Amino acid sequence: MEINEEQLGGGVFKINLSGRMDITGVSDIEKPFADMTAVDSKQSIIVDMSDVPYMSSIGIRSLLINGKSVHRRGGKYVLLTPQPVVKDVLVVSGISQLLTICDTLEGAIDKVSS
Amino acid sequence: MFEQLDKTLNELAYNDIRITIKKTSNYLVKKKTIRSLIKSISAPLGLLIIISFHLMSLIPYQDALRTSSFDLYQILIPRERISAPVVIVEIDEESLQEYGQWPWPRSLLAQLVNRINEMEPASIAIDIIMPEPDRSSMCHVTKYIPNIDAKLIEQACKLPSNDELLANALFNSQAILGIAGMDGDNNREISAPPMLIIGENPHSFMRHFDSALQNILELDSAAGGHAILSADMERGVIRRIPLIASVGDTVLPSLSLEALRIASGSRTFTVKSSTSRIEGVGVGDLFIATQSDGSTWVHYSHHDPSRFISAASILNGSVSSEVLNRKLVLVGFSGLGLVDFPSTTLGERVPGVEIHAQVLETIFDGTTLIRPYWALWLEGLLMLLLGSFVLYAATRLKAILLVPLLLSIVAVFIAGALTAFSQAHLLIDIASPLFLFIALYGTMQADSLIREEAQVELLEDDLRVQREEAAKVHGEMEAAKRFQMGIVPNASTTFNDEHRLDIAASMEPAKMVGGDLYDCFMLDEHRVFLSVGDVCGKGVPASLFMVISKTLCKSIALREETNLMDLGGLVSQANTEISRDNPEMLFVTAFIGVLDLRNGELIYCNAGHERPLLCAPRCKPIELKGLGGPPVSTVDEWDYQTHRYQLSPEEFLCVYSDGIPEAINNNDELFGHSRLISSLRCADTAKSSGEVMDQILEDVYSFVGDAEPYDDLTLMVIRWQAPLL
Repeated sequence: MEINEEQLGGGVFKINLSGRMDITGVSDIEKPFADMTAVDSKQSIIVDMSDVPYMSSIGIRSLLINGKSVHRRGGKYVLLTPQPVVKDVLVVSGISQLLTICDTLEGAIDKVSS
Repeated sequence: MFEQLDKTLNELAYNDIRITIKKTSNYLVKKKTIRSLIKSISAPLGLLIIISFHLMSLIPYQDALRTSSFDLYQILIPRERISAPVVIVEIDEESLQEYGQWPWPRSLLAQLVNRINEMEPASIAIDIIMPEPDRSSMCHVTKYIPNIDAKLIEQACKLPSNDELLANALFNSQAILGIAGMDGDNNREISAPPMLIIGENPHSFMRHFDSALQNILELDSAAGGHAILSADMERGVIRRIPLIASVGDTVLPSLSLEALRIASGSRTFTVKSSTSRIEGVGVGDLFIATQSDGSTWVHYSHHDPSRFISAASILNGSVSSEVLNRKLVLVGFSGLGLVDFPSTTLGERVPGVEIHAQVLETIFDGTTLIRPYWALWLEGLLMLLLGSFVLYAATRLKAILLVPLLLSIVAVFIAGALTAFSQAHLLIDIASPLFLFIALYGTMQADSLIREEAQVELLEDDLRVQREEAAKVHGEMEAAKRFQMGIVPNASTTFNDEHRLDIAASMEPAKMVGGDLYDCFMLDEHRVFLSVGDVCGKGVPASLFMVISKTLCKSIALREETNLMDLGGLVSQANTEISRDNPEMLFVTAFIGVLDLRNGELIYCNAGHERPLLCAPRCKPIELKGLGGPPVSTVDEWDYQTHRYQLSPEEFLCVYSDGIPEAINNNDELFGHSRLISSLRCADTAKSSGEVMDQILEDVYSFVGDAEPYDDLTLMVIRWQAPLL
């Protein structure tokens, strides 16, 4: 898996994930993903899921752990445009009830900026 | 407690291996640095020591190696005879047969010298020493005849003696006589031609003899020239001939040099020397470079009978005078039994006189060999170059490049030395640098072999440690797996007597421990508790988490105060308790249900788990709807919902973990929900839950093939069988 980060302005950061979020994929990004979300000054984080074709439960865990760490320090954390298969996993596993999922970038920016 | 145990196990399982590898490699690096430091100093130092030993000529047996290599040059490229300035008059077997046994009367020898002289040669040199008077003179012989007439004796003694005859012949022909150097006291003054010294006094540099075996004074004083005949043999081979040598205080030229002096009409011979060595000798305008002791390496051509003329054919006048005219004539023996035959470098045994002849030929043709004084330094330089190259390249270049490179360097060196020998007649010792090179290369190879062995040993140790670690981890994994397997009930035996329930359950842990779980037990007389869960995460921590979750759920379910109709409340309660001790941020998805066997009512709650499937004969499989919550322990507090579903007696309820749809085959394809749903069509004919389960598992296994199982496979199939009324 690959991970990179871009700054959208207004203190909003977008983390782009790409690749299968299975046990091997997640082990690739685990450390950089945690580093990116663990910075206190980052209060608004969008995780772009559009390039993730598959996610197993280990991927859910990764999203949740980082989401929790952002929430704990009062930050905002949303998931952006997951593919239908991945979205289904998020809904079935009940994660959609914990993390906000946005269908557009504008919507996501609104959510994390408010 | 859990936190500690979890941490310890985690470290044991993963970090230990990494730490071990890291430690070992650090050790390797450290050891390597010291070794390479020692090596980088010691090898060049050793090379310099060997080279300085070479320059000081202290290397044992180097001389033997060197002369052997010079012999090899001559064998490979023997000298071609260009001109023939020398004729050897040999006292051979034929002469002995015709003129009687040796020693000949000197009158006969005088006759031979006279006959040669008549043919007007350039010079005559006699390679025969005559230390005693001839006893075959008439005067001498008559004394031994008994009763001889005294007059006859008187008359006989009036005749010139044989020695007198020979002395006359020598005097008239300006012939050269030779002496042989020996040890011991000298009894008589040595006759020698005058020496002209150019430069320093050469006495201390040249070959020295204390005394000499001389000819009788009568002959000696008549001779036109005086020479020294001695040459030193090395292991039976004459390689070098001194062109000058001293006997006592007198310096004498060699037979060849003296022959040239007489031929050229010079009164003196010349020796040129510097403060450290003799540079060369000469006669008139001719200069011959020599070794530092005034000797010359004999440049041999093959033995050639055309150099020789039998003394008999001179005496009986059967050859024309042209044969000896203006030639340098050497008179010597070749008759068997008269003389030792020394070996030449080419391995031929020749009469000693032919070696003098060959020296004269090389002087004439300008093909005398010289080992220049700077050869030692050149060889030292070659040693340095080759040695440095070996030290540098042997460790850096790959063998496929190194071997041809070394071979071509060796070839160039040998070709260079042979060219110098054949074109410039220089003797450069290539054997010493090559031998050093071979020794050095061999040492390097041996060193690296030893080093590799040590490294292999080290790596083997390393591997053994890792294997032990892996076995330890594997053992823990196995223990955890047994733990996990042991805690789930056997569904087929748990409900043996309960005819209202048809249940089958299976769990197949993946190689790395997974965190799946299932549970089923009777809550009371009529109600069955069912659960299937999947801890997200692998390894020992996940399976421990699973065990704790299962135990907690069961204990809450069995608490008397628990309202089982509020299953969501039960899960919420368990969630709160499990979340409390969860440092690894593990969570567990769970489907929990309670089936009332009286009426087939299923109460259930789904915490982030795969939705179970319902299938019945001739019906399309459907998912068990009902909004679930997030997996247990993702959030500290969550209000889970309770749902209800009425099972019909024909329906199979399949609860499974994500290991089934996510089973992967060797092409990286997922089994997927669609294949799972196809498998469920077997419900059309299936007679029991067990058959449905077996069919699904068979489909999954045949799809996966021999691919490594990736996640736990857990499947529970339940059918309510309405009580018979």
